[in-house]
Amino acid sequence: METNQYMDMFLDESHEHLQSLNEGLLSLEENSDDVSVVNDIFRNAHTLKGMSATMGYNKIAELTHEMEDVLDLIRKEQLKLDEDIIDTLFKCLDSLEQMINSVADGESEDVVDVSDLVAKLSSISKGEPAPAAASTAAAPAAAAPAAASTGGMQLTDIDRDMLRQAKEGGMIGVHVQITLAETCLLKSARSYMVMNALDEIGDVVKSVPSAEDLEQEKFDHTFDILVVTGADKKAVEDSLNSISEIDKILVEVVDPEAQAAAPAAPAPAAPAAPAAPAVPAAPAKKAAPAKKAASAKSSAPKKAHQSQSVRVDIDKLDTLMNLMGELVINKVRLEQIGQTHRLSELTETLEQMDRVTTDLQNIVMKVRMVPVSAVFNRFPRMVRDVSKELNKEINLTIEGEETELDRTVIDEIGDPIMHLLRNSLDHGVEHPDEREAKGKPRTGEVGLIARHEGNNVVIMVTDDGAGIAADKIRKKAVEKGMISQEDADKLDDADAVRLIFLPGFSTAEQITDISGRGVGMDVVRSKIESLSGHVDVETKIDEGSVFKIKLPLTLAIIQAMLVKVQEEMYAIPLGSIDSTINIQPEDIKTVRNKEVIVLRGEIIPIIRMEETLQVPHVKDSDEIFVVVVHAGEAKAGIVVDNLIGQQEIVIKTLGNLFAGLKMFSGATVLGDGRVALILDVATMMQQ
Amino acid sequence: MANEENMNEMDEGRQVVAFKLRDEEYGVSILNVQEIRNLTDITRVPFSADFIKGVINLRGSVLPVIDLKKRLGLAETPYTDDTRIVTVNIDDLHVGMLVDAVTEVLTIDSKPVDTKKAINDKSGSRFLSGIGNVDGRLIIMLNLEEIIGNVGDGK
Repeated sequence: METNQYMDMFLDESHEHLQSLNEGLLSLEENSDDVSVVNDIFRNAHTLKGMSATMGYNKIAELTHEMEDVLDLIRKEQLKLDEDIIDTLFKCLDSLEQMINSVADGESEDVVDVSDLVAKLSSISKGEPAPAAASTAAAPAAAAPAAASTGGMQLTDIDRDMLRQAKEGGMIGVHVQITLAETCLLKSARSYMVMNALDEIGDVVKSVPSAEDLEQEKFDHTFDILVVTGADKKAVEDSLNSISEIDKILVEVVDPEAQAAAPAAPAPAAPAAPAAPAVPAAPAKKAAPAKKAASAKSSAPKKAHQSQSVRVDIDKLDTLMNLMGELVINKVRLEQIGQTHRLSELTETLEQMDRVTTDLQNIVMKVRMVPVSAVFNRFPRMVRDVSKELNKEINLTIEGEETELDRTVIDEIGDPIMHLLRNSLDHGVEHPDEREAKGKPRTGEVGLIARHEGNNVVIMVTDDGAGIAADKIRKKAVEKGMISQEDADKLDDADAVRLIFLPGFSTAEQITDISGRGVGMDVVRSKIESLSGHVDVETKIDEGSVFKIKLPLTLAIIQAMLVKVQEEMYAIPLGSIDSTINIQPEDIKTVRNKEVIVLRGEIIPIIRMEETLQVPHVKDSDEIFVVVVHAGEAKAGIVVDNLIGQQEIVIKTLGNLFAGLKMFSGATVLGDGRVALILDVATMMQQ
Repeated sequence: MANEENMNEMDEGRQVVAFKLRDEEYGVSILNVQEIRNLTDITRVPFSADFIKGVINLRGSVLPVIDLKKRLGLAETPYTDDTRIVTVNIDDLHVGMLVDAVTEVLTIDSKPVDTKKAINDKSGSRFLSGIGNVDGRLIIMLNLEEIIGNVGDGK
């Protein structure tokens, strides 16, 4: 079978399922009684099994199958979840991830030996007393109908009301359970035919899973439908018999009163049994479908929360944005034509179009934004593993995971954050005993917080651990010959701590598996800075540390001030601008042959852009505008002829032809289609 | 025969886009040409190599434009209505070239003339890959790799 075309989808989806499994297990670890979570992850394991079997990855399928068995027992409360089981399941997830990654690299899935895990899982699932085994095999006939009517379909009050009304009107409620043939290819079509057939002889009250899910094939092979009909049970059966590819049809009459009683006393399900007198037709076969139906049912409401989405290649989005830009430019040209030839009709139409393009532009921009949860998701699991490994008790709090960042940034920040987190876990938070001795709670608090701050997103990694001792850092830096003792003494504590961001600095006294990998904070810093971001640290001894990463919302779009120098237009990033002022020629003074201005008591050197950039002189300007910029601590005033205004610009690279050119960080296409260069303020100030 | 073809397969039997620089006709392989555009506003890029005219907006992306005459050491002429920007691709580089006029697309299949003898130009015949003869018209074939491939370090 040609499965290659499904490979990407398989990989994407299996990663998603693994992620949900990880999350589910983590929350189970905290609260092992939450059956809905078990249902959820059971469903994930089940889907994963199905997908991998279809793709021919038998080992993955085998392992997930065993996991599914264990989860099924837990779900039915026939197996008590303990730490051992959770650990085993986590190990399974790791193996699965390895196998899937190996498959992704085009290799075989045999990278890990799963036989131990499979054996362990099956011993867990078999290690339980008889009742468990009995129900997975053939359940006793007497118990089966009860399981079918309560487990197969849970009725809400509204459903029950409808049933009661129907009963008063002389109609009956019928529960129909359809099991499609395993080989059925068009499950949605079959389910649609079933629904149609039932619609003809009665009213479909509800279906589990929902009609929408049925349509999208979000079910295994079994689904349940509740119908109110004037016909009898036999007629219902007959109407369905003509549909092919159906394995089993189960029809039973539902009594609303019995159903109402059932949830209140789920164990003695006896009342339901008499309400379905016709059931013994195929009692033994029932346990299995009922089980499947239950899993389908439990996942249905969960699915509803997830928003619908489409995967799109990021390149396509880039192209979309470029096309968007081109559209705007052409629109501006049309507007000019309309004005030149005084075509009022054209101008009016273009005004309409303007609104549409503005909306379109906003949406295209937004489409590129991804919530940071895409990165944050993997950390809870990592923190759990690391803290176990280190024998530390750590509670991870994540805040603001809905904060959005540009896709390009999201892809890059995972590793730096991971590094900071590991660092906090390893070097920050102390051992429980040590913490107790210091009078802190045994459990260390580690936080991962994202939030907006103006045009930036700030991501903080906090811990309430030991903090960083400035003196230790000073000593170390001097020992390593990074700075002189003299310089070290001059640094205040905050600056001394920042030395950790220098290359070749690692303060851990012991190199550990967790964070002492020879690469240190300098890697974090260079990565963040390559994203036009900034990383800083605040720390207090015995109170903890806060690592703060500040990132631009997007690498593609920035706010900039457009300035005019003679006939040329340049963009200055707003992030480097302090203020803009309008001065008279005589305000410019010279100090040692250098031109300066005095602004609020501060002497600021000025740079005449026209001279620095050798702009062809066309006309004398009567006004002088100064854009006061800063790079680090240094300030300068850039003299320009005119300020055009502040605007969002899309950054484009200048390309390889200008590789050595540091003066400009890129270029942007303006509304009128012309290109303006984006000034790199730091380089300009060095000139 | 087979040998000759091998030696000169870069220039033989290929379609070329022919264009004018001053009074001479030049050509580049049509495979390298992406499109031909009318002259638009070119933004000057300070501190770049002198033959780099600047950058233009090509459907939302920024495209460098070189002054081909300057690159080849020819004297400048003013822009006319016929001035075009020929955008070409070489490897990953995407560059526009200013030419005086685009004449036509030709198929060159005659033997190229010896480059060294034919061109008495000190600025380096390294930019040229041969000369094609089409019914008595001489088309000077350009070596795009040399012209735009090796300028990455343009100051």
